[in-house]
Amino acid sequence: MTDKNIHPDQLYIDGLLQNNSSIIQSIYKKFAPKVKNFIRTNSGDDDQAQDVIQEVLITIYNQAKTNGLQLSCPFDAYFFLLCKRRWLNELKKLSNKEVTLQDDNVSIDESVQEMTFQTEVFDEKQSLFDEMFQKLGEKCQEVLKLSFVTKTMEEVAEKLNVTYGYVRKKKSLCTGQLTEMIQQSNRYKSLKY
Amino acid sequence: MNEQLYITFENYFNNEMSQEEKLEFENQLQNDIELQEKFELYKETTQFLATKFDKETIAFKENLKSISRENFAEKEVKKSKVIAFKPFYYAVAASVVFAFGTWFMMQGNPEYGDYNQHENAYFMERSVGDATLNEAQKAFNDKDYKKTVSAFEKVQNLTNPELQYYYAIALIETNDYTKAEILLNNIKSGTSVYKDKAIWYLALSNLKQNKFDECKTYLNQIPADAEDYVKAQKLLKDLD
Repeated sequence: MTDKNIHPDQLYIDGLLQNNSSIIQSIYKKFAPKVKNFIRTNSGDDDQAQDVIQEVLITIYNQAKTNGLQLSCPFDAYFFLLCKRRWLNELKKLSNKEVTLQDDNVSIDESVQEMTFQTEVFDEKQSLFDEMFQKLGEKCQEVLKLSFVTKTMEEVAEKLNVTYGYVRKKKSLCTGQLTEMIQQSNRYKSLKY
Repeated sequence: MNEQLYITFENYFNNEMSQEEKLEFENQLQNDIELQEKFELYKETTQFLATKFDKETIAFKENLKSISRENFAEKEVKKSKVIAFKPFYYAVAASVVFAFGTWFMMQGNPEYGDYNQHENAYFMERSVGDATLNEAQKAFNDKDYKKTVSAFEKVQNLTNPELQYYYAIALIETNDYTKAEILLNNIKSGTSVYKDKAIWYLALSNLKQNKFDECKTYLNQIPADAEDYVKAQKLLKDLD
């Protein structure tokens, strides 16, 4: 994607990435009421709206931080569609009943759909990684966590009271194990094709 | 599991290969689709872990949580006022004048309880293995401040400003203001990232003791680029 395609609303993405409180505030002031209203009129309450909004903003942040995120459509539409679809999934999980929706039936811009799709795929992957990480052995979780929160592997070794060589090897093997668990999961297979 | 493969990946990412090894590996990678896939997934997994455990990510989530809470709480406060007023109005008709007076006074002064949403503590990431600190952190995040205080009391060497900061908050919560303010003043005169936050909590400590003038003095000391500046300004306005 060239820079020309980046929408000026990229400032919201960058603001999230920089943990800029005033931009986060303005997202809540400008864009949250519409989401809240939608969830309220579709069998939800304020608490549920709060959760949905928070989860969507965390997903956007994670995507921006991990892969970079270049917004090619207005933030408003992108954010609303993500929240809306997340809430619909939530509703489906909560009840098997047919959900009646108050839909605006406005056709959605293609670039908005594309952006939303990318973010949802990322989110699905992220939650798969998370799920598998929780299934790793305790020692592996600890070594991996430490090797990312600590500046150098020498320090990690010191903290765990083992040698540098051991920590390095352990880190590779634990990451490797994690990749194998991910690769073998059905969720991963359905993501890929 | 192909152990050597993952060690090779890790060496490659960390640039710990000789030029020869590197070329050979890249060559192999180009000709082996299965290897490529494994390599890409390893790379992706590493990126995922890096984001997950990044301090910035943890800070972002905390900040987001509190902004979210603020935004949704505003509405709830307004709602609860309306509900609280009605039964009160009908039931205590006889002492309306007196009661109204107290009610308005209570409404007029902001309370510590409006501001005591503390961020979670995460200091254990830097000192794994210390059971006392672990206990303090857990108790703090569970909002069990008595237990937090007694855990911190067992810590031998409390010179780290981050630890002092969380200890001080727990002390305010348990009404041990003198001790809390000594710690906070100590942080305030230092250079750590907790410097401005310490001033904010000095203000809150005074607010909790209804010492409004002292509270205001501290609030006015919070610089405009501080994280708590907006909250501080709002509290200042409410106090006037």
